[in-house]
Amino acid sequence: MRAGDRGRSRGDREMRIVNISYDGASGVPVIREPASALKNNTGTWRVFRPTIDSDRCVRCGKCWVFCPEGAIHVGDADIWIDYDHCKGCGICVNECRFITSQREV
Amino acid sequence: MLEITIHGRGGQGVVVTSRILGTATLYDGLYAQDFPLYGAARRGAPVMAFVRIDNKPILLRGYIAKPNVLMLLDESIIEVKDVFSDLPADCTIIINTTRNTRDFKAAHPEIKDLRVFCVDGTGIALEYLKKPIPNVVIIGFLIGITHLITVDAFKTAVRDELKKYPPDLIDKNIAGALKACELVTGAGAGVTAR
Amino acid sequence: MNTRRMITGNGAAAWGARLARVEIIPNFPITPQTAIIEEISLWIASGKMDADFLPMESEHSVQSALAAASSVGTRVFSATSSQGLMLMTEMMFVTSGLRLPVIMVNVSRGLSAPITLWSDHNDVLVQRDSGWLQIFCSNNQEVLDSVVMGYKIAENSNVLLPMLINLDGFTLSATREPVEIPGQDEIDDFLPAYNPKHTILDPKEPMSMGGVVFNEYMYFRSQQRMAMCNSKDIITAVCAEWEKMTGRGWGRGLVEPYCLEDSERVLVICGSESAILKYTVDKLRAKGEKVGMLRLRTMRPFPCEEIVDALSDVEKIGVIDQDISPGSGGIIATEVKACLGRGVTSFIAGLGGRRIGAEKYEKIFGRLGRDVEEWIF
Repeated sequence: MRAGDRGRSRGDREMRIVNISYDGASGVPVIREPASALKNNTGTWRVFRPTIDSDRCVRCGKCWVFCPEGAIHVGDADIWIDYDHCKGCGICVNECRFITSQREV
Repeated sequence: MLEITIHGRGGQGVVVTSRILGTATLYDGLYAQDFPLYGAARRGAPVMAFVRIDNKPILLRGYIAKPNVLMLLDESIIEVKDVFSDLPADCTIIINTTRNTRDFKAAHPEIKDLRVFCVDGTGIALEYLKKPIPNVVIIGFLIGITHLITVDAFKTAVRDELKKYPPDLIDKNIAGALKACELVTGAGAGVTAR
Repeated sequence: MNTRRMITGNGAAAWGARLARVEIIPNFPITPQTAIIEEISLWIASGKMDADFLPMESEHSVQSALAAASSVGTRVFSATSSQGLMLMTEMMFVTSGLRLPVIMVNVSRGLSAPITLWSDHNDVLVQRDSGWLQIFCSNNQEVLDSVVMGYKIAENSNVLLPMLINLDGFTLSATREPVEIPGQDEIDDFLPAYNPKHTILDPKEPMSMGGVVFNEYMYFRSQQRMAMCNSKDIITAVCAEWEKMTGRGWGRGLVEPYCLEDSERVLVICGSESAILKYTVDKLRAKGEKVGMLRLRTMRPFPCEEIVDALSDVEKIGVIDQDISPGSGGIIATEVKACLGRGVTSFIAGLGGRRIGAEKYEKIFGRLGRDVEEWIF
């Protein structure tokens, strides 16, 4: 029995809902694609751009530990900054004398 | 009613710009409404603020899609946000940039028929404050171009809204704004309320 | 002396608490309410306000502290939003059951999941059966006025109920408008110090509060019901007194009619969206359309008689709900229908702060007269 049927039998009118329909699983607020936030380029917020002096870097990984955004990546041979997600906070510059920063142009 | 939309980045003083305009309008004896709109409350993130000015109490609320005046405190906002689409034909645009108006319009043909004023607010801010915070200076340009608020009300409003900062910084901001105002006085012919 | 300033809805709520000389403010931060408490804590730190600020570990504790502090006879205030108000739920019933005149501001924000930071009324309406008076504000001035008036209403011996004052998140909380701030002398004359006689924890006059009852339980609920009925006259009287002092009476205190005299089509609404609706009514009236608005200022007590008085001759009625009871429909529409004993057009709009805007209100006025629930996206 539909909810409206009972109301009708008592002489009331069914309340009709206009403009919406049931869409199944798409109505559940979940994000199914892992790491989709990587698509958001948050690097445009940066005022200061950090640069690693790769000639002097000893790959100790201290910058990787301190980066609050996970924007520093440690590879087998080098360490590099993901400028799409680095917000230019300057923590790595503060922690390592081989990282310097300049105003973005 | 006159409606103003301000775009910029967190830390440039977008919200303070709207507040100075709102407070100055109140000192001018008119009604005002000002409010910000932002996602991430962080330095560098895109920020919007809005001001409504009227000679009677303001009933409208919310986002301003058809501003009389559009102010961009940061030129690079154009790359992350579509700020020029659907602007009304009587919109006056003030952009903080080192480019001149002719070059700017050439790069952005969608605003070629609108009144566009390219101003180097950051340049004046660096000269007067030694800091790249252009908001108060840009209000100086706005006053010179549109005469929306009086200079006296502007000065009092700046002192109100920046009262947590050192007095000499406030004085330098006002001096920079007055310089900006002088540079453009006569360049525009005001704006008309709708 | 009165001053006129640009302040936000949050600032207005803080000013209301300051002028009412509240003594204890327990709090837990939550967006978009936090600015109220930041302002108050600054005033306390700088000596502008003589009150104790209690940073609590959760909203549940905040509500417990409000009840406890009110029980010893102090005037108390707090503010919250959304999930914070939900966490208080258990203690909300204790505060009202003990008949403590606590004033709390809710900055409305849609409930999770999914998360939104923007306003709708589901948070405050969840509390409509908790025995609290509920006031919905339409602008920042009304926020300040309602907080001060709130104490005078709630502390009246014919009422003795807590009050929730709702202001819409961002639309009011972060928006600055000119607000008249009354002088402290004026407010001191209007609102004397809180001097409770009904419940006060005092070692000299021992009493135990809220103990176990059996058959008597129903009696105490009947007294809350009657206190709600009494509150209508008190709200009207306090608003009239406030109007005499400030010139602002906020309708008759319970509802604010706008252009109803010869209206054929009327929309019922509450909260800050009513300002945009007024703008739309003005615009359509200028074109000769007979449209009007009825703003519900109190949600509890529900202004049933006032709605019947205002709308019985109106042909087409619509109700805007910024809320949804998924198994029933628009909450306010359901209650308005129960008052009027006939159908209305129910519009669900502005959930999670979704923009409605004057253009959509114009369209909505053209869609009245059907007994349906329509979602306006």
